[in-house]
Amino acid sequence: MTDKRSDERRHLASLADALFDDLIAASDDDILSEVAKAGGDAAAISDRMRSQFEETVIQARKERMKAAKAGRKAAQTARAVAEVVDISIARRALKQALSQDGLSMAARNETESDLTDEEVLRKYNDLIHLGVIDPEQSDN
Amino acid sequence: MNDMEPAVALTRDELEEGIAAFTNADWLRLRSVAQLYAIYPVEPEEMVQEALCRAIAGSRKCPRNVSVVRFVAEAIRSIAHDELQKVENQRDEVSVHDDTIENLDAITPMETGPTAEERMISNEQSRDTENRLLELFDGDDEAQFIVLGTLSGTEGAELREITGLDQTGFNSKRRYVRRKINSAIENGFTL
Repeated sequence: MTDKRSDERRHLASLADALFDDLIAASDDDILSEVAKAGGDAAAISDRMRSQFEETVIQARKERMKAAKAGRKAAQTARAVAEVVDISIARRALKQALSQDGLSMAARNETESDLTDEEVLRKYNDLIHLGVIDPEQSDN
Repeated sequence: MNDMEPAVALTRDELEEGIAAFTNADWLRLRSVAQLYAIYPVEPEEMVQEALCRAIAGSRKCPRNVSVVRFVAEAIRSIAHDELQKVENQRDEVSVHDDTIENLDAITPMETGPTAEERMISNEQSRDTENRLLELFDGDDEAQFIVLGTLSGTEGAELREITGLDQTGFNSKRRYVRRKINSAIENGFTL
């Protein structure tokens, strides 16, 4: 299959390669004067390109922040799952907490062995929020 | 990541600062590079932005001993060659598909490319780009030799011999060719 445009692209890229070094070596004054001679407005073109770049940077930062946020959320979910799975630790901590003085009568009248896993986890989390259970200590 | 990397390459923040400090001449130089590589229908300024995006995304590091302008210019060149390679790969896959493989399930799926109709339109639009380039240098045999020779991949020394110019004259003529092409693109000429 002949694709004339593809061959032509290759030739044009060769031409660009041959002229690349000359363009890089040209002085700033030459570059500015070339654009001016061709009728271009150097300041306007540069300002437009600079603004586009600033917009690009802002977009890139937003994307990075989104990615970081998603990563943190994933880590939190993984941690929460790990906490839920460790039911034996939750049950033991709850048993200790329920035997403490200072809890309401209703709370002390409950025993962790009567509770389902789901109820244990709910009460365990409630008592963590109330500051009765220290999750760091219950891990040990 | 290599421990030596921070010492030899700019960090992303440093690179962003370097780009933010570009002068007008720096921006225009990059635009001129992109004009040479942005082959229709790509717009030069879009190509510059694409190169900047890739640069700050960090897929390629800017060595400290290379100017940021040169680094971005090289990124533009790299994008152009990558695109060219993609087009060539698509063409290869089409060739295999048509001629030798009977088991269609075994073929690597092609990227979505232009349809036959789009290719015809593209070829029509690009027809005679080389002739149009030569017309820019009507009456200037040396410049036309440089354009023709470069398009066909003839190397510097051989090309210089064909033009009959000494090294200084050849460099000067090639600079003239480059300026003329950039100026033509500035005024609507497309590659």
